[in-house]
Amino acid sequence: MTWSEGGRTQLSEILVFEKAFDDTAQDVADLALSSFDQCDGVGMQLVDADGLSTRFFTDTRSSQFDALQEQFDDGPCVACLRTGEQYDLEPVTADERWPSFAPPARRAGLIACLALPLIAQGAVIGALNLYAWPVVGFQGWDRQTAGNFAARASISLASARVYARTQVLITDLRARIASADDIVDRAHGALMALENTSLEVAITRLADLADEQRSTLDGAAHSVIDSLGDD
Amino acid sequence: MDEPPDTLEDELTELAGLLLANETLETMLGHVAHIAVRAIPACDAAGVTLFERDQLTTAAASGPLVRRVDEHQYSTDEGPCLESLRTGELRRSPSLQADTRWPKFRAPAVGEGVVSCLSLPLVIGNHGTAGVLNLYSQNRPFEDADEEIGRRFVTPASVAVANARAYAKARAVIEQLEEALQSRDVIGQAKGIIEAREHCGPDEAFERLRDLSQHRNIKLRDLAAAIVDSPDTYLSG
Repeated sequence: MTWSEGGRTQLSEILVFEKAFDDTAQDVADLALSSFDQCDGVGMQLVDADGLSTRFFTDTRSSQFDALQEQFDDGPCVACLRTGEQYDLEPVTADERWPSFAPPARRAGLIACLALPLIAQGAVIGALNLYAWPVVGFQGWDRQTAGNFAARASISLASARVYARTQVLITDLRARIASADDIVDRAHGALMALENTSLEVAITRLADLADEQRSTLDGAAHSVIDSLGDD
Repeated sequence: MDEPPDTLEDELTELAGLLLANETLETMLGHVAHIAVRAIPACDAAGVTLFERDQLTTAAASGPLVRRVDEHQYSTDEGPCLESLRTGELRRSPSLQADTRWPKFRAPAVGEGVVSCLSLPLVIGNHGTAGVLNLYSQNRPFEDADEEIGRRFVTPASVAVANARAYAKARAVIEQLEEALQSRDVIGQAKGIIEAREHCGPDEAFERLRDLSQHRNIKLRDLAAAIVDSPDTYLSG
């Protein structure tokens, strides 16, 4: 197995602003498949800071192998995500390390699997699973090259995610600015005037009111503003 | 893992991770320049020239020499950087002293101690030439081997620069939007204060705010902030 110069070049050519994050991630999975000639399919699982995971596949079979591991909570990918280390499934049938995952995977034709941790800034951000199901002649994985690919892919994915976060924030800020409703701010001001207090106290006061009324901040703000007309 | 590290590969990996450090654009481009000095054997000094709004700027440099030599190119309107930018092609001068291509630039550059230079265009797909990576040597010529490494280095460097610029732009937009949102917050708060004190509705409160802003010749946002800070100073009753 060789990591082609092409694969290396393309990983370092990822423009974070050209595509949506998920499309960039799919490109990385596709690139892994085309970069290793012993690899027949790729599954990639990415985990974000909130623990939510997203999956990417190059084909249905790889998707099924990933799903099997998740279903049995057993297999190289599961162990890799847990520990941040490389794990594999060797092309042998005796002495299986993955008692739940290996038998059904073997029946489905899997010969070998290599799960590579994706690590950026010290945190495990996912796992890249290389699957092999050749009819004959599996040559084995070049673990070091595969590890280098995963390390470079981790950097590209983490960078693309950093940029994607800025775009989410921009959309959110634009939406907040576009919404004409400033009821919460007005309620903060009204509370300041009514109770002759500072903005900080007024902000806490409105949050307490929302709690007391078992309502949202918006609901509490409406009640404050409505009460202005009462006196 | 026992193989000797591939230095260029290590440098390219560092280039790819530029965004993760969460730094300013200038700092990120500065890293690109320093990485170039380490990656390309003959290179003593490097800088990134960007072309924006018809203006050439040395956006980052590994040292003061780069800014001085770049400035000679900008002021004489000739040299490898400018030619590289205009043609989108690499320009190498193994011996600047013997080079007849840029007579006006040659004398001051040689005077700065530059013996050889290599300019690599930063090209992003079909986005055109965004700038140039300028490499200078004060000791030995840039040879074919340096040029070859330069060619391998420049694509990831172009991508790193483009990503850094896009990220910096996104952060600037966020900053502006946050400021706008804060202005809006403070105007809403001032409206609420006026509504409560003067028993009026939000539209009337905003009119009152605008009148006050005009009379006192204070920007609406600044006046709103001043009212939130000290209502009695600006509002009666």
